Amino acid sequence: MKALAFQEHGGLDKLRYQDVADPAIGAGDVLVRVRAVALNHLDLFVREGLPGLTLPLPFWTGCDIAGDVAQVGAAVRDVNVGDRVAVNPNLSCGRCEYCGRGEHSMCVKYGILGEHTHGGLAEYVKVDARHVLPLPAGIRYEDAAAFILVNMTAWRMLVTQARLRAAEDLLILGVGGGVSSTAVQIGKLCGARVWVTSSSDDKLERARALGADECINYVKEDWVKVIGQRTGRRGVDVILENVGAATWKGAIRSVAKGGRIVTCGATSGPIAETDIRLVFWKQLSIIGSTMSNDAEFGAVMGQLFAGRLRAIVDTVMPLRDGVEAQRRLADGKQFGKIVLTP
Amino acid sequence: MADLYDLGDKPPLGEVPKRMHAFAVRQSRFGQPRDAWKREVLPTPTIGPDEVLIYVMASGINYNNVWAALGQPLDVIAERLKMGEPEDFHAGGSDCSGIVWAAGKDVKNVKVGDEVIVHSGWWRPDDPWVLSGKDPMLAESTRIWGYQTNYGSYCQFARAQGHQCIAKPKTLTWEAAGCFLLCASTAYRMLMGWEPHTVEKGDVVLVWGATGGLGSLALEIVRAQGGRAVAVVSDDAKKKFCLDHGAVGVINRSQFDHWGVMPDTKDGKAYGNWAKGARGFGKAIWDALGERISPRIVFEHPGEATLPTSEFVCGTGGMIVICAGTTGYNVTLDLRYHWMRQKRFQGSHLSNDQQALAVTKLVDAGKVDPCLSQTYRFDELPECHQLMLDNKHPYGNMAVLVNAPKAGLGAS
Repeated sequence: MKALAFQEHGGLDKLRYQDVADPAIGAGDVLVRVRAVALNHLDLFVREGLPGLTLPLPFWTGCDIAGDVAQVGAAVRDVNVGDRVAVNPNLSCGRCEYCGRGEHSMCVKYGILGEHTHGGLAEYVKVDARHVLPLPAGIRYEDAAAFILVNMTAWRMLVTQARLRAAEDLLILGVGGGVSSTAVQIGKLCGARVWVTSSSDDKLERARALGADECINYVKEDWVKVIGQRTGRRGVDVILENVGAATWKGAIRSVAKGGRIVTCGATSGPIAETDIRLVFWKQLSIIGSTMSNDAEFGAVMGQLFAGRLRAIVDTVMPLRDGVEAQRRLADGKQFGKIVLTP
Repeated sequence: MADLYDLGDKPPLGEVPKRMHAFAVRQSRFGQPRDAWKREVLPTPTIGPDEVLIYVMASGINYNNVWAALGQPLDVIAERLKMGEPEDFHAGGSDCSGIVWAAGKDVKNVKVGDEVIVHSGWWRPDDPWVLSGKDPMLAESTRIWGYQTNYGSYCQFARAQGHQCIAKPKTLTWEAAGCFLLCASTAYRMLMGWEPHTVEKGDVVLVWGATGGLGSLALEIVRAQGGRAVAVVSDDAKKKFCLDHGAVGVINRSQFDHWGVMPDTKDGKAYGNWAKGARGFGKAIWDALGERISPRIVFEHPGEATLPTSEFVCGTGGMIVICAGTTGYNVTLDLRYHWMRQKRFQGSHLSNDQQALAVTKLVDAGKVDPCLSQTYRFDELPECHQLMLDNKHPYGNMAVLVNAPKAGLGAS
């Protein structure tokens, strides 16, 4: 089959649209014919190489997958060839104390399909049969693929971790990214007043179209000051933070007493200078979050299927143009997800 | 009735003399606690409808009144003058046992003659946040009683709000009852107030500064809740105290040298040394427990020196909870540990009424020891604060006698 693979870690020049061996499935697996696969920063990080992550080469990534079941393992009962499915990318052991509690993304052996095993930037992918979810007839492959990972992540951050409630103020820093942009609509679904920041008026406009109430261009205005002024110096209840070093101090200042900062990444660097007086005086919760458990995956996919949340697609391109697609992502040009179709 | 009574002399119950004995700080004396705190005779304060006047029998000593003496990091006198209060002195004290001597008309939970202890959460009764039934410790008007408010427990008659009063545990002496509640209620909120990260049976809790007032009560509360506390101390001589107060294991942190601000992750050698120290410390926790389990809760108050290590050793999905920064406030967090292991960093401050009551019940039931270290005379109060500043105070909580004529009284 064809895959967008790399033979060694490195830059975009290592990526080739090439022939690779078809995946072989086990008794509990299904083979999915990939119809759409969305890109994440994770695809870039893994291609460049992550410390401690040793992969079988050639390797191909891709964790946001929708497609058709092409083959089922001998022990698989309730999935059939031809089923249209979305793929839950969690890889968890099912046996540790965290899995026992249903906290799959805390699993001691946690991994992500497409990061730790061969992914969906290919024509076919092997998936544990328990991790395919049937797609309702009206849901397009491109939308399903674009939706999965960022919504799992944002849903857990806002609904489970921050327990966002109606009428609270939610601030989303850097609204262009996939998690941040979809967080706007999840924030609205929760009934919050949603604040967003960006350096681009165009991205702010798109966030407004998704329901953002207060848009701040941080190049033109000091966002910390604006939030202080517009909230009567109270600050916001919840901050979704995945910028890291560049915005951290401002985030700690801009959150109200008893507020919550949820972090899932740090595009500007992970070392966060923190004045802890503000943490204990304001009794802040600073919560780390990654991906979601299987129940949250089901819950948020249900929102897509019910039409309460939608996929935010930037562009759809053929898989063979994957190098160009990854460049677009690396340059931060997109708003929403870049989807590839094999 | 006289204008002023000697300490220990009781006016008729319910009658309040015009003047009283107290220890106070004035702005002109800001500096070393032994000089800043001076005994004075002050006018006895009047009370509002929601307030009580307590005839103080014994008082606890807390670090906040070391800050008050220094005038740093906050000049509490200037703060109050700015808010329109007339007094140009600070008569502090945030922990006491005593007898209700007068009560405002709206006070319902206690009456004149009741023996009480006082917790230090103070808030305006008309604060909309409080009226709406939310946690008052997050209200805009919340203050630390006897630090940010005047006429605390270093007064012969202390002024408090009715809701701060809790029935004194009957089996305790005045000094044992008066010494513990600020630390105990703060520790209780940290350990039991932040769902879902509350201490459950078998949970491992790492307790920094375990021989201090806060740390020792944390050990006691963890034990009472069925958890397993691993104590951190700076000196082998402190180990026995920790084991006596509930720790299942003790680590001497002077065996490590990676404390303080985490080095730049790009500086491979320095960061490598730091990571080696942090990993070694994590292993010391496992050794202390006898099994490889990382803490579900890390009980923090040193801050700058220890927080990067706390962040590193906290278990997946666990919480680092902090109420102070006794070694400094500037902390570098490595957010990667935070999100990959889905940890929580939680600030916590004092406690609300319910939490103060809950921990007092544990003390009353004999499940938590108040960790009284030593009892001092009233006139030794400045020296007690000096010992604290110089980090030479005895393990646990100090008490000073105010109206109690000698130690050992008040228990029944």
